[in-house]
Amino acid sequence: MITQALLLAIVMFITKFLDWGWANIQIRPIVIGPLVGLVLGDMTTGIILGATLEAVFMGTFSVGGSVPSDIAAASVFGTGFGIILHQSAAQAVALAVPIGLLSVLLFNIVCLIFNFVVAYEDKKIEAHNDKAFTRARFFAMIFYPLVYAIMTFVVILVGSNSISAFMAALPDSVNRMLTVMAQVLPALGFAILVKSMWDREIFPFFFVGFILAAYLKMDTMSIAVLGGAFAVFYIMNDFKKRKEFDALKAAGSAKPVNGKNDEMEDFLS
Amino acid sequence: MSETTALTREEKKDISKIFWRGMFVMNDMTYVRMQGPGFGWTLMPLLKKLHKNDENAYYEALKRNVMYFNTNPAFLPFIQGIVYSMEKENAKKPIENIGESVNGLKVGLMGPLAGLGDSFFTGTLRVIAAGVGMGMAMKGNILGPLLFLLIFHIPFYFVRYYGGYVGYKFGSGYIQKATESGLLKSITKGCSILGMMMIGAMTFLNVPFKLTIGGKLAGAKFDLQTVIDQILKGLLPLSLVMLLLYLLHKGKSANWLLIGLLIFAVIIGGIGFAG
Repeated sequence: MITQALLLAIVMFITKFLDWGWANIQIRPIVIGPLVGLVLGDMTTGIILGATLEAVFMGTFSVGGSVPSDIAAASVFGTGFGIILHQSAAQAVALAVPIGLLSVLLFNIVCLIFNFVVAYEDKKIEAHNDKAFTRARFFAMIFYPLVYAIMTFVVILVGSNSISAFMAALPDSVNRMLTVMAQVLPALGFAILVKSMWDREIFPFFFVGFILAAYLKMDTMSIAVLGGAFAVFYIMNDFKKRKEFDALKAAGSAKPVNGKNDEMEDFLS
Repeated sequence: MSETTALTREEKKDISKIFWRGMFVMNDMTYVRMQGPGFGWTLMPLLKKLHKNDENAYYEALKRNVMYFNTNPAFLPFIQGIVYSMEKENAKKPIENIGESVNGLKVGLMGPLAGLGDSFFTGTLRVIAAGVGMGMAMKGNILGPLLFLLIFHIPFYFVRYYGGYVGYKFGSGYIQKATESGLLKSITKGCSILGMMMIGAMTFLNVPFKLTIGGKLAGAKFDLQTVIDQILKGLLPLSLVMLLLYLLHKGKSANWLLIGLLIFAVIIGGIGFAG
């Protein structure tokens, strides 16, 4: 168990490092799952659990710095416990969701500590010491992933047995509840996404995608290519129309309402 | 890129420095100053070069560049490119109120660009990449995660890398022109068509909610889910997403709906209708 805890701590470190330390990669469940699977020796399960968690956390993304749920912690622990304790996908989700919400606490504590780091940096800039400014920033770069890695090590080491016993003792009906939960949670993520890009004119394409998947059995890759074609067509047309409209306006003859009527007349004649 | 041809070799080196040092921008994120310290730190060697002989001026420049700042990382070098060109002018011939100008520009640009980045990169491109990736990853195919990484990050780093050049050379007028000409609006809208289709497809593919009850009706066995499938495949996931969307539009918070969904799962699973 110590090796596994150590390996997962390393994955957590890498995850947090690539998120904020360097490069700011979109380190999402779909990426973390395979990493966890790789170190625990079960790549395929890692990929599948990662994809399952990706669906659940689809609508969870940080906007303007506020973090609703710690997706990285949720993915490392969800996939990690899922593989170590041989849990089903539904149980992995059931573990990941509360862990993600709890880990935001740790995140906020780290952010709080960073306030002192920034205050120290300000003092050093005031004192004309840019080397200390750099050192403080690199301290923060290591500190954040390290805190998470230590937390991971401890939780996996201490928690695995009790969580395993707890999950094994769950009655059948509770397992059914967890399954339903894992099934319906992605729906909320998708609803949040639709709301976030809400546009009355665009919304019908939601149903186009739905029918392509449900009835034509198209996979997401082919739907993406088709949607890409629609998007390019739309962008070119829309931009051309804008340019024409601007040209008309520059010529002094365009009034938005009349413009529309003219087009309609052209169409009818 | 044609934008880069007119820049001198040294300028190019400076701009690529902005890109590489900018990778560390989030190191000391706080809710108070956000990416501010990272912004200033990225420009540090360039500012030092501008004020080679004047330590006071260098630290003044550094100080005004570590103030509050927050935007989507993709557009960070773009803004830094503009600020660098301003600082360069200032070093040649001091601009009055340079602190206010720099911070005014930063604050003025960071909001719209954060919005554009969140809607285009986080909202749309990530969804498309995840949709494509998840389709394969659900079957255990390693190509899924790899495709996710590539589809998202190639455009992300492209904008991040060349943004610095565009910002340095064309200044803030460029983004204004792109906004006024409506090109950005067309692109954002076109991409949301694709995003919307992906979410629709994923609603069917990734919300595997099914009822498991059945019974006997007039002597014939029937299964409720089969009946529902005959009406419309995926009717339950579709109605669920529509209901949640409606409630979100009504102003219900996501956390409220999360709790509602959990209660729903407990009831439906508990009485054995599904699961």
